This record gives sequence, C-alpha cells and structure tokens, in this order.
Amino acid sequence: MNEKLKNNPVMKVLLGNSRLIVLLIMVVVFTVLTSGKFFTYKNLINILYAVSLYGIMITGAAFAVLVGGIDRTVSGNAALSGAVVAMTILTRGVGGGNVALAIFLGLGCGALSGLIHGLILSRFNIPAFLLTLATNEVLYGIVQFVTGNQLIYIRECALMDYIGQVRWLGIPIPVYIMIACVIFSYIVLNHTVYGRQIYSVGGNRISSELSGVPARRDILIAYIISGFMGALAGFVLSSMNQQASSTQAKNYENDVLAAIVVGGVSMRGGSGTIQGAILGAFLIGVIGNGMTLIGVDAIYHNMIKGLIIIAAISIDMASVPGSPLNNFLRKFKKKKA
Amino acid sequence: MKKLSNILLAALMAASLVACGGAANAANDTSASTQQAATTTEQAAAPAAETTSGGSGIGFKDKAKNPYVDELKIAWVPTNASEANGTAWGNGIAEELAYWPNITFNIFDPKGEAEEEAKIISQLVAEGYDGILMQTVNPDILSAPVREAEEAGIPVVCVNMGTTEPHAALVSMTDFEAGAVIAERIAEALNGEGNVVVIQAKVGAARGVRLEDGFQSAISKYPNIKILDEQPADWNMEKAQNLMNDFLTKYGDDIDAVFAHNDQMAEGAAMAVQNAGKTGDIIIWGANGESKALEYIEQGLMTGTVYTNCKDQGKTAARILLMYLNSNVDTSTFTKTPVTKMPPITVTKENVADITPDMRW
Repeated sequence: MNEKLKNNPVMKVLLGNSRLIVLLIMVVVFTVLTSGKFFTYKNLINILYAVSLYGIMITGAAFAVLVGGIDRTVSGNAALSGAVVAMTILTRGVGGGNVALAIFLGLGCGALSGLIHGLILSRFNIPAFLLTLATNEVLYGIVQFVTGNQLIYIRECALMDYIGQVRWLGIPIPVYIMIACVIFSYIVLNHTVYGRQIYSVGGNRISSELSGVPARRDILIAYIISGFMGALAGFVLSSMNQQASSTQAKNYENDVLAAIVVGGVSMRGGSGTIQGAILGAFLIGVIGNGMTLIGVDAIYHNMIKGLIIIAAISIDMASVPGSPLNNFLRKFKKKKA
Repeated sequence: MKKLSNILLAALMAASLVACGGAANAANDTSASTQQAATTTEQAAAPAAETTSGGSGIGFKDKAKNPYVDELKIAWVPTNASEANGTAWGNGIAEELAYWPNITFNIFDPKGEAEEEAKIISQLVAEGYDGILMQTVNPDILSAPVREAEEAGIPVVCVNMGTTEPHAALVSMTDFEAGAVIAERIAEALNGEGNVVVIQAKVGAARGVRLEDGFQSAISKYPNIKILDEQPADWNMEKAQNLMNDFLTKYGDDIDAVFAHNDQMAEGAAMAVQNAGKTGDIIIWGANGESKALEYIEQGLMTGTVYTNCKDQGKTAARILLMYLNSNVDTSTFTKTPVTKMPPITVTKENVADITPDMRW
C-alpha cells in the first residue's frame, strides 16, 4: 500500500479497526444479495431499533468486562426494573409523580443490584462469572415474587407509550436513548480519571493498587453503572411492550457478551473500547437482519451467527502483533516471499 | 358397576357443558362449541364404555378420597407459570380449589424445561401429592414421570398438552381447528387471493406445530394465496416486532395478512405495522385471546384472534381432577386419555364486546 493511501484519514480509521471493515463487507454483501433492499434508510433504522436494547445494556456491561470482571446480571436487572416500574404504576396509578417514582425505584433497583455485586466482587476473591450466573437466577426469582409470576400490562402511561411508540425524524426513541448511553460511556471511559483507572485496574489490579489507584472503588462503580444500564434497558423494553413479565429479557446477557467480545473488548479486562463493543452489536444485528431479508431458514441463523462471530474474532486476533494467529500468518507470508 | 360409569359420564358431560357456558353469550360460534361438546363426551365415554362391556380396560381402587373431609394436596405445574395463559389457568384452578378449605394447592414452575418438569413430577410423587394438574413441556419426555404418578395412584389431569402415554384426562384448547379457522377467515377477507407471512412459535413447540398444520391444511385449498415467508419469533413480542419490520422491508406492500402463533407476537407485528403507517391495510391474526389482544382488536390494531376462556379451562381441569379423586376409578388403567376440548371463540371487532371483562385474562 502506498504512503499517500496510508495517510488518508478514512483509511487510517479502517486500518485501525478491523471490525469496521468486516461490518462494511457484510453491508455490501447483504445489499447485493437483497438487490438493494438492505441498504435503505428504513431498514438501517430497523437494525438500529433491533440493536438498541442490547446497545444500552452493552454500554453498562462493558464497564464490568473492562475492569476485569463480567456481569451476567444485565438481563436480571432489566427484568427487575421492568417489573418494579410496572407494579409501582399498577398500584399507584399513572400520574406524573407516580411514574417518576416508578422510574426512580426501577432504575434504583438496578443500581442497588450493581452496588451489591460491586461490593462482593471488589472485596472477595469470587469469580465474577460464577457469582453473576447465580445472582441472575436470584434476580429472576425476585422478579417472579414482585410480579406474582404474572404478565403485568402497563396501560395508559403517557411517558412509556411515548418512549415505546413515538419517533423523532422517523427514528424510534430507544435508539436515541442508546446513543445517549454510548456518548455517556465514551466520555466516562476516555475523558475522566475514573475511565483511565478502569483500564489500569482491568489490566493489572495489583500494580494499579500499588500505584495508588482505588481499585475497590473503581470496580464498585463499574458494577453500579452496569446495573443501572441494565435497569434502563429493562425500562425501555417495558415501554416498548407496554408490559412486564418475569421472563423479560431472559438470555439477553449472552448476546450482550457476544457483542462485547466480537467488539474486541478483552475478556481478561483492561483493553477494548465502547465504540468497538457497539460495533460488535451492530455486526450481530446486521447478520440477523440480513439473513432474514435474504430468506435464510431460521434453523441456520444461530449457526451462521456463531461462525461469523468466530470469523470476526479470528480477524481481530490476527491483527494483534504477537498473537499465535498473527505469528502463523507472518510465517506464512515469509515462506511466500 | 353400570351405575358408577353412568355417574362418571354424567359428571364429565356436566364438566364439558360448564366449559361451553362461557361461549353461550358469544353467539358467533355456538354451533362449533356444541359440536365440540359432542365429540368431548364421545371421547370421554370411551374408557367408561369398556367397563360396562366386561371391565377389561379399567380398574378400580378400594377406596376413594373425599375432598370434604380428607386433607388433599394438589399441584399445578404449567410449562411456564409466568406466561399469560399459564397465569390464567393457574388463577382459574386456584379459584375453583378455594371452595375446598382442606385442599392445599401449590404451583411449581419448570420454566419451559422438560427435564426440570420431569424432576418436579417425580418429586411430587415422592412427597405424596393426591392429584397433579399440569401442562407438559414435551409429551414424550414427560411420559415416564406421568406414568410413575398414575401408577402411584395420583391422577394427572393435563391442560393443553398431555403425554403420549394415557393419563387421567386432558383439557385442551383447540389448536389444529383454530389454525384452520384463522386460515379460512384470512382467505375470506382476501377473496381467496393474496400474500401471507407467518410468525411462528419457538421451533418445535407442539402448539405451534399444530396451529401451523391446521393453518396450512385450510390455506392449501386456496391456490391463489401465497405464503411469502415463515420465521419463528419464539413467542416473544419484541422479536416479533423486529421480524415484522424485516418482513416489511423485504416484501413491502406485498404483504396482505399476518398470522402469528400467539397474541404476544401478533401484538408485536401490529406495532411494526402501525409504525410503518399500514394499520388497517394488513390483516393481523393471533391466537389465545389474552386481554391485551382483545384491546388491540377494539382499537383496530389487530384483526382477530381465537379466544379461549383460559380461566374456565383451568377450572374445568380442577373439577375433573376432583371428580377422579372422589371416585374409585383407577385412572392408571386407562388405555386412552379422555379429552375435553374448550370451545374456541373467533373474535373480531364485531363480536369483541361479547367477551365481557370477567371473561378476560
């Protein structure tokens, strides 16, 4: 590649982010295969809308992964917040004050759940995967208790109807909420001391502590953000569906974590970006949408999705100098030369 | 002996008549429901009839239980306690059993896992429950534990989905017939010509398969109706909404009608259609008849649904179980499961008001 092309700002971005290249390739492939139907304004909005819930969860869950842990309770927090909001509105009515209280309680539950997880995980040496796997079940249990294991309809709540149904410039409100969350996370991670500490603690907790970084506090805050964003996603989901159920958002955490990994956030913590993780979510969203538009039978969707995720990770691995895949490719290149 | 089988028959007939009671004020499908009641008694009579002709098929226990004086424990095990119909059945059962102060009633939730449900049933047998009301996740996997219960003298009355092995009774919604009715209604509205998309149940779910079979068998009579696409949305509202968005992108104005395997998914599709500004242009049918779907029909967002009074269905199942407990019929000797079918009511904007608030769930 010649120098001029290398210095082109567009090429710089592309070369620095292999996932973006994969995403663009997928977009082109799907556009050709669907004879243009894929690449329309409306369809792109549909993809954004389908991804928005996952996106909101990712902007929180990424903190837990970056700090060296993992948070599988995003789905449980979403269900709990939806249930608390629904029950509060059901018992107190849809007046403005009551709705505000409902939202406060719902999002508060998420933050509280995050606080508890943060307290445990920052102080005791418990694997985050195991703890959150278990507590997610506990959260769903609490949701069953709160809702009486019933489907709760939320009727005539103006604010929630607004979030669920109104569009600005043809774009549904949940998409704006996701964008706001991404901006929030981006600023926190890149332009605050706390954000830089997250990377430091995630990369090496012991050396960070030795150099005076309050690792415990940082981990605690990471889980609170994760819990809060999960709860926010749950509130948005309840607004979209005008209901809350005790199976709401079940298994969403798998797609959220898949997107984070595909987005290049290291599961060991300390490296990765929020824009990468969101890109990962788009990649998964684009694959799902594209396959439906092409008319791929649903039984193949998961398989193809899995294979493409592996491909995305491989490309990512190959671009990291020193990784086995990268070394292998280098040897291969040398032989050729 | 003969007297007893007559009593049994009468009780079953009464139960199925009660089941039809809900349909009486909805004039639309009365003929269908009387027909249902007729088939019901026929099927239910089968094991009893065997008794009168020599008693080769059915056995008797020495002692019957008495719900007036005996302390009885009854369990309700739906596939998913938190789904709208699971909740409605459970409420119906609870209401019915509330009349009997010495009956203890407990709910167990296998959350859609067949293996988990099998474990629960085995545990209920070990704990010495007197009767089990359940909806099986999978008719094959649950056959063995249900058999185990029956052989331990615990009658198992199933709601909507039983097991392949015979058990005490099955109280079912119509599914094949419901699918067929919906296909007929869609074909009628389209004058036998148009394009349909289907939003399917979770892959392999028995109710989805039977709804689909009924739908296909009826729609195949109309050569000019084309099924454009079929994809599952796992009973899930937001997935159905996204899927419908994708269908609208792919087929645009070509879609004339949507059939979703349950109301939740039909509601999701209705939202997608509404956001695309096509409400009223596309026919949308669901199935089950939960209260939100009825509201959507009232608002014109959905075209119709096949309603079943789930609360009544739960009550019917509970009454049949009590009847068995109070008789000395040994249900484990049945060679065929007696089936009671709930009357389906086809609901559209014209008759939605007939489903009064007390019938909604």
